[in-house]
Amino acid sequence: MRRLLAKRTPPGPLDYIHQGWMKLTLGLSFVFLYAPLLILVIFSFNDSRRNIVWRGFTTKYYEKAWNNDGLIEAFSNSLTIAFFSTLVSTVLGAMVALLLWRFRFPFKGVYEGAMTLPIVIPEICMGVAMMAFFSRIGWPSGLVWPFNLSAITIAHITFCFPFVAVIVRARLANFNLELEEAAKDLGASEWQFFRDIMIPFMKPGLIAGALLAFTLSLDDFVITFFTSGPDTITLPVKIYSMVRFSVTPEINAASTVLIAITLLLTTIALWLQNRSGQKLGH
Amino acid sequence: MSPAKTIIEISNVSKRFGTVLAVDNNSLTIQEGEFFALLGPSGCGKTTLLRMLAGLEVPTGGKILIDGEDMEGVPPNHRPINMVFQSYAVFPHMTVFENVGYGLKVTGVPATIIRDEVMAALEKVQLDNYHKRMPDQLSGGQKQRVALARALVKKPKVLLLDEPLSALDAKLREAMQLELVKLQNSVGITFVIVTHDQDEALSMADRIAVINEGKIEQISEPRNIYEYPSNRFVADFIGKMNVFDARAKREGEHIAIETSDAGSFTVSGRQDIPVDLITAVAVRPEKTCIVSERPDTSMLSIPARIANIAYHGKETAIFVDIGQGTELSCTVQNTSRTQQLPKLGDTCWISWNIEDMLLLE
Repeated sequence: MRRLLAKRTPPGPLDYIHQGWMKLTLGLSFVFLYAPLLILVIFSFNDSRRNIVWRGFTTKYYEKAWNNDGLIEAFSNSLTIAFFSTLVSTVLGAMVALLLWRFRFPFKGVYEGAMTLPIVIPEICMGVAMMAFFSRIGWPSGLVWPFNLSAITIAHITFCFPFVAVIVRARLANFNLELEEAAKDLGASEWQFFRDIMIPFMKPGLIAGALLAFTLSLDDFVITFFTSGPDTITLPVKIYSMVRFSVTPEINAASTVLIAITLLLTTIALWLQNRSGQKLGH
Repeated sequence: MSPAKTIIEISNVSKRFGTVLAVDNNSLTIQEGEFFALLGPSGCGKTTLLRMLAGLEVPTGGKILIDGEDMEGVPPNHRPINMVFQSYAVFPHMTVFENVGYGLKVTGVPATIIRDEVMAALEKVQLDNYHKRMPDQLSGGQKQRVALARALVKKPKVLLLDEPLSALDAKLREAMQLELVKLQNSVGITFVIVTHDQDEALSMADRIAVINEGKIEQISEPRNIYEYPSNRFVADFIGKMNVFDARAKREGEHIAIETSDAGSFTVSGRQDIPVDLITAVAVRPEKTCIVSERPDTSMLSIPARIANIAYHGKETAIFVDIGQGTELSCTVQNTSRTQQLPKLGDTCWISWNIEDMLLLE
């Protein structure tokens, strides 16, 4: 009888984790989300030409991927594009964030909305638009490396910098305006204030935004697919073209490397953002 | 002492934000070495006035001279003035040392000199052992000392303080009041402080400007402000006050006062207010007393009934009803543990010296 009564009391918010159905939901969602990825990673170590049955552990497909010139070229293209688009996106995004934070101008709301549009526009549309745009203005193709990557880099910048702008803008919202007045009051010029106070303050946002931009650029397939030519293959596009023949553990290995880099950078970005948020909370 | 030199001269300064006149045509001079307070309720324009001195706001009209130099068009970083901000505005990513040294570094002072100056400034505010700390490892009071040291290290001609004690708890605030005065005496720099706390202004400042709705109502020493407020606003804002509507008439040497509640009486003529401008008389609660028998005729007395008693520890506030719904208050110092206090509903007389009565515009 007492047990029955005790069971009647509704669970508190923290008790839900002990409920059976809750555990099941949590477990299932994890399986649903991560099982495919996990299998991909596991089978990258599979000692078999085909990807179906486990035949023992090996790292030879990593070696093979490493020795695949096409794959390495695609990977170095990806890194180059990611590097330049991150650099430009971070500077551009920070400038947009500062503009939106600091100044008032007509149609600011419209501008702010338009700025974040690349985040919500379907990627396929962005890709098609980019392809049409570059061919319409006759963007030169077949240039020497790394200039042959310029079209893809520009396309990547357009969808990366809004993320930087949003992150840095959020950081700036917590800026104490008296810090600026204090710096000026102490004799700092506009530039000295910007260099000594503003940039250090924005730094966590800048780093988080840059890392996010880097991973976005590195992973992007759709937009890159539409803007890349035969000599400007990136890693995701290369993996796609390899999959069209057959799914080999080599592809698994290349994908696993991509996942690892993305995960690492995203974790750092989130950690930095969290840390700066906590610091402000004090 | 050498004759005082004017360090700040504000003449006919106004500041308009859109349609709001925040500072309305004020003039004011501050002497070198003075501890000057701008006192007023929030939103009265005192902070705007201070910010105009710092160069953080540009006056809509009028002139500001600092040490004889016109400050028009001079940006904050070129003014011989430094400020302690309400939020302290300590740079969060710099150590205490870097914070205090920042003002010297940006003007190109050599590192060795910065070191000595910063350590000397930190010693002055008793933070010399904290120079390696980051601001988030400091308490509110310590951050404020950093802000103080950071401003003082620049050796400004005037130090501006915007509500410097408002974020501290009551005990610390009292200690800081004394400390600020001591600090000001030792460095000899003119301090201009903005506050809404009358206690702070009265206890620290050499002179106070009471501001209301953008206008300076009175400039005087603390004691004068308290004992001889020049108008109804100042009387009401500083301390507590029993105010009666009144009409006055000159009768030879004396002024005859007729009030609605406190009867009629004459006072010896005070020359500072024209008689026909007097609209009210007032008396401070602590200058009244409550007695059971009518006192001798030199005191002004009104029959009353005890309506309320509020015990505050060091003093007791007694509210008496003098009829027609008018309540007066009287504060009694609790000078002895066994002090007799009247009881609710007792009939009594509330009385005070006519000399303690104020005539107000």
